[in-house]
Amino acid sequence: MIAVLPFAFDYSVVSEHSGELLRGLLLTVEVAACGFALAAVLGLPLALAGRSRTPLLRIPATMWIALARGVPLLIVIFWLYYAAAQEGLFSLTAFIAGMLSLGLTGSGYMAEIYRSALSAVPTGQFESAAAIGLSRAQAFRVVILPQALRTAIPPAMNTFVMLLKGATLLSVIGLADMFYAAKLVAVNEFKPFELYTAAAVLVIAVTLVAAIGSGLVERRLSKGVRR
Amino acid sequence: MSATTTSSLLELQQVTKQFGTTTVLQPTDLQVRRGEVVCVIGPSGSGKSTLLRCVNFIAPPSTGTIVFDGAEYKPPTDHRWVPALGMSEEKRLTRLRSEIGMVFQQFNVFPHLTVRENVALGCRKTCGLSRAQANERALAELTRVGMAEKADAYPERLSGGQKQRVAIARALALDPKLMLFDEATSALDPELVNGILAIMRELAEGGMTMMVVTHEMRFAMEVADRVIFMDRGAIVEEGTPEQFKAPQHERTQTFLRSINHG
Amino acid sequence: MTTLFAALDFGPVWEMRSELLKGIGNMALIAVVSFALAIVGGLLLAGMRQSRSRPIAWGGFLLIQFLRGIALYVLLLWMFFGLASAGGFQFQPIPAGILALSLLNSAYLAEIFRAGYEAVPTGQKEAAMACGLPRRTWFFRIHLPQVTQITLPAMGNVFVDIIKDTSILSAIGVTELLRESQRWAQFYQLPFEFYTAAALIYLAIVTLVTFGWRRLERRAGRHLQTQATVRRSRSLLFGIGARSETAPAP
Repeated sequence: MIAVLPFAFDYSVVSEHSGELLRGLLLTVEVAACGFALAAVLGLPLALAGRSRTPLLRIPATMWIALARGVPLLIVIFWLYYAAAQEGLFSLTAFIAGMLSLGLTGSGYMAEIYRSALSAVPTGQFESAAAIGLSRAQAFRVVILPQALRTAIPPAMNTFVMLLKGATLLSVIGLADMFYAAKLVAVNEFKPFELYTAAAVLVIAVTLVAAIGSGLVERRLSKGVRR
Repeated sequence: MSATTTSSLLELQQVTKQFGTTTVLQPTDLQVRRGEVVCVIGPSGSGKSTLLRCVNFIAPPSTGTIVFDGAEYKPPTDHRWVPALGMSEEKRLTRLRSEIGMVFQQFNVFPHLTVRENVALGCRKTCGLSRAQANERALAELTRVGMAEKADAYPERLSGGQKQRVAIARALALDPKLMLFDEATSALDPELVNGILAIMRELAEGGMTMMVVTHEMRFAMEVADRVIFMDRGAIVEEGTPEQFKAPQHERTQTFLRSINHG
Repeated sequence: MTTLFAALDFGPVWEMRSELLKGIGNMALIAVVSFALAIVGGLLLAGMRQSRSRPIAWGGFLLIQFLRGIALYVLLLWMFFGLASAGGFQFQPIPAGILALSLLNSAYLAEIFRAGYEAVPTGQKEAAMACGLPRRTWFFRIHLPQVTQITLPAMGNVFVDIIKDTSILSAIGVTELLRESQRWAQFYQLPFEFYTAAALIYLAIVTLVTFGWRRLERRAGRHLQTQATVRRSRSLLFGIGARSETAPAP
């Protein structure tokens, strides 16, 4: 790979602009974290509505999940940022639009995760909770939910990694994230290779840490459940 | 060392098996004559299944020698760095396995193949039969175990007893010299056990050499030529069924008492 | 509300239908080729991980972890702009997109294949060995069919992800559906209409593919009375109530 390069890698450009790059990286992680929090909060009621016996709840929840999972993130971003503003519905900053699109897309995935985690709790748990006199709501809150959340953690972390990768897209609507900074500097200094490589390495480092972390958590938890 | 008498089909010489640092099989010597039925009994985890799996190298022994039908087999070398080196050894073991039939506790029929294909696949791949010949052979074996009319069904739709019949037919189709039964009836509903035992009894009476790991004491007492009691990875006691009515060892006595009352 | 809808003008979207269709065609081409290549790559990576040779297995593990950590957009920009400026390495947009999509997804598929590989009961291998089947026969006739059946649902998810991710290729100028929508949205100054249309088209395609894939899964599992495979995402749109689907009798 190195042999292809006609000139040496110029570290100085990267180190000169490392402040901008790192600030950008922080913003990416921030927006991904906010989006994930939103997804995690929205996902649970969505999952419950999706399991409901009332079509009034079930059908809208189903459609929401289908939309969130069927429409590419980039289109959601464009839609929230450009389309809605043009129609005068609302006008959002890049950060809010980014957070919302990550949160909405993620909510579909989180709902699926909660749903399968809930159905993975053996029905015997509900029965035995009822047998010791807990109401349905109590049983859900004290017995079912804690067990379900435990199984939901590893796939939820995968969703976070997915959203983190998705957050790198937000420079397209001008969020001043790392790629935005990299792009600006790259254009100004004519050093795109150095800057894009630096940006790529930084993002990969963060996503790798998150991915490996989720893998570790998954292994740890599945051990705990089996034994 | 190898004082193999002609009547001995199988001989284990100082065979051991380790998984990591735990020893599952202590150094074991054993001879099985042609036409002999050997029943292996013992508590769970005593190394009975491992013993069977060492015989056909499904779980290759760690040390020792196995002589089968006059040919010697040693533990295969671990070619973990360059697996291609193990090819010829692997081929030899594959041939050995095709001469030994095995029936498992969990049946292990192939779910994505029909009953007929389950039985025919081995014939085609190891005996070199054509597809038509293999199918014919399969049908004959299935008839023998009373499963001919299910030949085109998928195993999913069969009961446990029926699956085990298919598994037996699959093993017999290769015309094996030795049959290994690893708790063939343990996973069956009680009412289905006798059907399988009847097939095994018939096989034994037909002169098949068999090693049977079982918890069915009545079967062992009636059919076996020799009974082996294993505990903690070693053979503790062996003898005729007659001798096992008054076992010598205390551990054997305890075991027999526990299953007679349990 | 009425003023809002009165203001909407989907006419230009309809007028530009042939352009959008061209975008869909490109998307389909890229998605199918990338998926096929990703399957090949995934098998290779999974094979490496499963290898009895330690160094190869470790190499596979590291490669998979590495690829799983990379965002598609990052890889695309790096390949397309970064490498290009480093000289002598200018990708065409579509090959660059296909390469990036298949590389990243081969890592996901490798993990799926590995999980499927391990999900087949060990007894199946023991039985195949006990029947004297050669390793090759065991692998192709016994193991692979069962792995396929177990992994199909998760593979379908990857395919859907690839379809959705083709939209990201618009960033390097691939004229797929989103790029076309963007172009005409700017031309007509109608982002709402064009982006809404694009979203609905994606939704329709994803739904169709999911449906088709279900049929494929049912065919692959026709020997089973009930589909017992685990689905990561069961409900895309219509699968909600289907806890366990019953396959038609063979």
